[in-house]
Amino acid sequence: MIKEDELNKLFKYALSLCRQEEQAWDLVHDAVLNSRKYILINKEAYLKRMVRNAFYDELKRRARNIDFNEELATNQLNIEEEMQNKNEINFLLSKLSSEEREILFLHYVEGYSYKEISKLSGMKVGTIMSKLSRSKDKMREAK
Amino acid sequence: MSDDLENRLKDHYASKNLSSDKIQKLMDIQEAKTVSFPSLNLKALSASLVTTCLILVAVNFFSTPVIQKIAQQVRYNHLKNMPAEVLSKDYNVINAALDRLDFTAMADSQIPTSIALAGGRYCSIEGKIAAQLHYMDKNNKRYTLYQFKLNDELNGAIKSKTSIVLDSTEVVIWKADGLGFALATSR
Repeated sequence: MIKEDELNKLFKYALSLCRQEEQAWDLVHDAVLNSRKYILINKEAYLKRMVRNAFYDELKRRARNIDFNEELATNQLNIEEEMQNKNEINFLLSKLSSEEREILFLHYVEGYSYKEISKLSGMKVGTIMSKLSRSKDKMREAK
Repeated sequence: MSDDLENRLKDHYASKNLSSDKIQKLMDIQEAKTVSFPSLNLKALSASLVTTCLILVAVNFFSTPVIQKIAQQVRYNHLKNMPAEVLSKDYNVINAALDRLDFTAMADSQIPTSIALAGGRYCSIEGKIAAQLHYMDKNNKRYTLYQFKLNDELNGAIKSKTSIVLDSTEVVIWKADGLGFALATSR
């Protein structure tokens, strides 16, 4: 049984990828639902990978304009609106790519090492380090 | 990263939690799982190969029937109520718009005559592409009809017309002309 704090951690991870609470909920819900099919030895890693794969699959579908619809269009967050809300950290995160936000979240919030992030994301450690550095630069510039 | 920014990042995510309703939904999903899927941990794995095999056999034996999984997926997407990608009362128009389907969506005699086609979109069932068709009755009550190509597993699982009620949603599943049909409506 996945406990409440683990579900919340998974939700936060999904949120670091997509920034939209409704979409993050869908990702977590589908991952938990699909996890019923398998016997899991490392649930946390499996569920994170499920969420990650589903998110990037959706991104690819949108890039191909196959499943683009009104709902997805309206889901695009408006950066100007966020600035008006004066939610600075949210605004700074909006300046980053999903991969950059994911790395920031895993490293600084979850405390993952570069190697652990590499194992989850499939990115090389050097790539992760440079993306992390670039993220910090972007956030500093945006401030 | 400055400590300030790092702390604000932590605070930002610390404030993002699932509502108690959503946590409960996820717990319910897992509860359903734990009835039929005994979880396996490393100790069980290391205990013995025989034990592992027995657990795997038990999991296979008690696994959720495919038909139940279809009903759950259709119910979930019926409640999600995603907008149609094509609005039409004509199957020809819908098939032309959903040209990535590996089958031709069609009307079937077992679809109630009291409801009318309104549109459709792509969806999936058990990881396979499916058509999600939107129907309405004269009182504008929504019905969601899934159509999907039958593979051996699905063909074997759907033996006869079956009605499954999940919470307040009824899902009727049947097969005809090499296709699977699943019609969901809220009670």
